[in-house]
Amino acid sequence: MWSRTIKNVCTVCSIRTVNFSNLANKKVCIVGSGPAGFYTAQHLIKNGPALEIDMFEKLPVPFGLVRYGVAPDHPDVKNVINTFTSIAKSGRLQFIGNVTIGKDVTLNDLRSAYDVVVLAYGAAQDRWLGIPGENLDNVVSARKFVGWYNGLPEESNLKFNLDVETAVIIGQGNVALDIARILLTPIDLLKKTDIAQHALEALSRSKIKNVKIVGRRGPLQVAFTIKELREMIKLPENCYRIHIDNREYIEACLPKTSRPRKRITELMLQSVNLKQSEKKDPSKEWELIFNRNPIEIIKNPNENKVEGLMVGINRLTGNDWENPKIEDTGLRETIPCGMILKSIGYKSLPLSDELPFDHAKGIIRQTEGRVEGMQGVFCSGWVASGPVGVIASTMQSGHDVGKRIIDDLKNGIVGTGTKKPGRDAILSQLTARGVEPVTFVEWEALDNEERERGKFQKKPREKIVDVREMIDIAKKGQS
Amino acid sequence: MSVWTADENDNNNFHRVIFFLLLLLCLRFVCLNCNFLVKMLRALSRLNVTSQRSLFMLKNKESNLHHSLQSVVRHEELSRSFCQSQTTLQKKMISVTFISRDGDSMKVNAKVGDTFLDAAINNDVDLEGFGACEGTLSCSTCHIIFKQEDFDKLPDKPSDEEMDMLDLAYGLCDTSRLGCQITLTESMDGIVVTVPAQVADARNR
Repeated sequence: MWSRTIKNVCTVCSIRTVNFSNLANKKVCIVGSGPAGFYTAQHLIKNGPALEIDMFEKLPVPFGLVRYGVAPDHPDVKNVINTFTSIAKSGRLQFIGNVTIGKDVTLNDLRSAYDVVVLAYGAAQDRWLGIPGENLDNVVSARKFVGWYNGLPEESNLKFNLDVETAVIIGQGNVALDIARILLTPIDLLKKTDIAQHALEALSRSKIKNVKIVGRRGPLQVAFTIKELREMIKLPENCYRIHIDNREYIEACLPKTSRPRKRITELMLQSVNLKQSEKKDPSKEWELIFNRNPIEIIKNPNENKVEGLMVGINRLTGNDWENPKIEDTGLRETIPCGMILKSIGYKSLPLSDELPFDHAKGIIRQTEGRVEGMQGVFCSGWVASGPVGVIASTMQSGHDVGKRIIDDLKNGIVGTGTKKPGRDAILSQLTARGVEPVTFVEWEALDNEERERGKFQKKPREKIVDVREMIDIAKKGQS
Repeated sequence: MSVWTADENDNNNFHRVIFFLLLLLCLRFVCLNCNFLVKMLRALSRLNVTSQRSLFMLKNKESNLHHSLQSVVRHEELSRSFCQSQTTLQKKMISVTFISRDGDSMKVNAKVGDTFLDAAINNDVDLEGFGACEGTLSCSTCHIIFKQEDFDKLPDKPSDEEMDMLDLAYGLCDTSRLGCQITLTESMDGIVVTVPAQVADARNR
C-alpha cells in the first residue's frame, strides 16, 4: 500500500507541476466582498494554491447584501457569513475595506497591479418606472428602503413619511414581500432582530395599517417564493386578501406547471378562501393585487405628496403561461395611498468609462465571466448576470468564474507578461491619497463592538451606521 | 506559499515524501484525539493520478494546521472534524457515498444519528458550497438525490418548510431531499446519494 502511495505521489508531482507552476505567485484581486466575491475567492483558494488574492470593498465592513440586503428577521440566511469569515481568515485572502474602486483607485490601476481582476460589485442602483409623479415625496425605492432598515450608511437619512395609513408596493418579488413584512410585523418581534435602531424607532411610530402589493402580471407569474408567502400568511396581528379573479384559468394551467410553481399557486388559491376569523384581533392588513400596470402617481393638489396610484388593468393572453402577452384593457382605476415603494429590480453601474457595459440591462458585457475586450478582467454575480437570484445562484456564478480564471491561468491565456506588483503598489497609492484601508482583523473589532452594543438592547447586534464611526472603532478596537 | 515543484530526480521526491510522512506521524502524537490526521492518512492511501487536487488540499491543510488548531472554536466546520469526542468510537458508524456533479465518488464513514450534511462536513467531503446555511432550512445547497428504492424507505416525509426550500433547488426531481433534514440510520449503511449542480433561479419556475 505504501509503495503504491509513494509511486502515485511521485507520478502526480512530475505530471502536474507544469500547470500549477503557471499559477505560482500570480496576483488576483476581487472587487466586492459580497457572496459573489467570496464564492469566487473560495474556488480560487481551493484550486489555485499559489495565488495571492486581495479583496477590495467600498465600505469598512464586508459581506455586501448578506449584511445589507437580507431581512433582519431572516438571521439563518446570514449563516453564510461563517463560511465567508473562514475564507477571510484562511491566510489565503487579504480583505482591504474602505477602498472605493473607481474613486480611490481606478480599474486601470488594478489591471497594472494584478494579473487578474474580478468585478463582483453587484447592483447598487434602481430601475425606474418612468411614469409621471415618480419624483414626488414619499415615493421611495425599495432598494433604498431595505438599505435604510438594514443600516446601510448612505441610506440612514432616507426621507419618507410613515404617518400614512396605506402604502402601495409596486412589484411582486421577494424584496416586495420583505418590505411588506417589515412594515407590518409587530414591533415586539422586530425588536429582537438586528434591524437598525433608527428604523425600529420610526416603525414603532408608523401609522401604516394597510399594505397593497401590486403587480402588472398575474398569480402564475409572481416572482416571490413560497417561503416568503407563507410567512406573510402567518404574520401575527394581520389579515389579508389575495385578489384572484380568473381562478378557472389558473386551475386549468396548473397541471402544465413545475412542482414549485404548482405549490405556490395552490397556496395562493387556498389562502383566498381562508376565514379571517382565525386571526386574533387583526389590526393590520395586506393585499395581493394582480394585473395592474402603474400609469401615474397622483399628487395631492395642495402639497407635494402622494395621494394615489393610477393603474391600468391588464389582461394576460397566450398559451405560454410563463411568458404571457400583456394587453391593456383600457380600464383605469386609482388606488388611494400615502406612500409608494418601487420594488421593480436593481441595476448596476459601470465602474469606469472603459468598461464594456450594457446600459439597457444594467450589466457588464461579458461571456462566461470574461469581460469583453479586457484581457485578465472577469466578473461574477449580479454585475454579470443581472440582479436576479438567491445566494445559492450567486454561489454557482462565483464558482464557475473561479474555474474559468484557473483554466485561463493554467493555459497561459492570462497572467503572462511582466511580473505584477500586487497589493503593495495599490496600498502605497492609497497611503499617498490619504485613504485608510480597513483589514479583516479591524472589521472583527467592529463586529465585537456591534455585538456588545446589541447585548444592551437584547439584539444580536446593534449595527453602526456611520462610516467615520465604523473606521474609528475598527482602528482603535473600542468606542 | 510555494507550489509543490517536482524535481527531475524521483529520488528527491521520495525523500520529500518520507519527510512529509514522518512529520505527519509526529503531529499525530501531539494531537491524540485528532482524527483529522487519521483521515488524511486514509486519503493518501486512496490517492490516484486523477485526484491530484487532494494532494494540494493536503499541503494547504498541513501548513494551516497550526493556525486551524488555534482557531478551532471559531471555525465551526473544522471544530466538528477536530473535536470529536471519545464516544465517537462507541457510536455505530455506517458507510455513505456522495457522488458529485463531476462524477467523483466519495465514500465516507458517518455516525448513525448525524444528518447527511453532518456526514459531509465531518468527513471534509469535497463538495463546493454544500450546506451554506448550516442546516437551518434557509437555502437549497445541501440538495441530494436518492435512488428510488432508498427514497421510498426514508422514514419521514419532507415537511412543508423542506419542500419550500427544495422548490428553489436546481435539478429537482421526485427523489430529491435536503441533506440537512435526513438523519442517518443503521439501515442506510452503504447508501449512495447524488449531489447535483447548484444553479437555481426561483423566478424561472
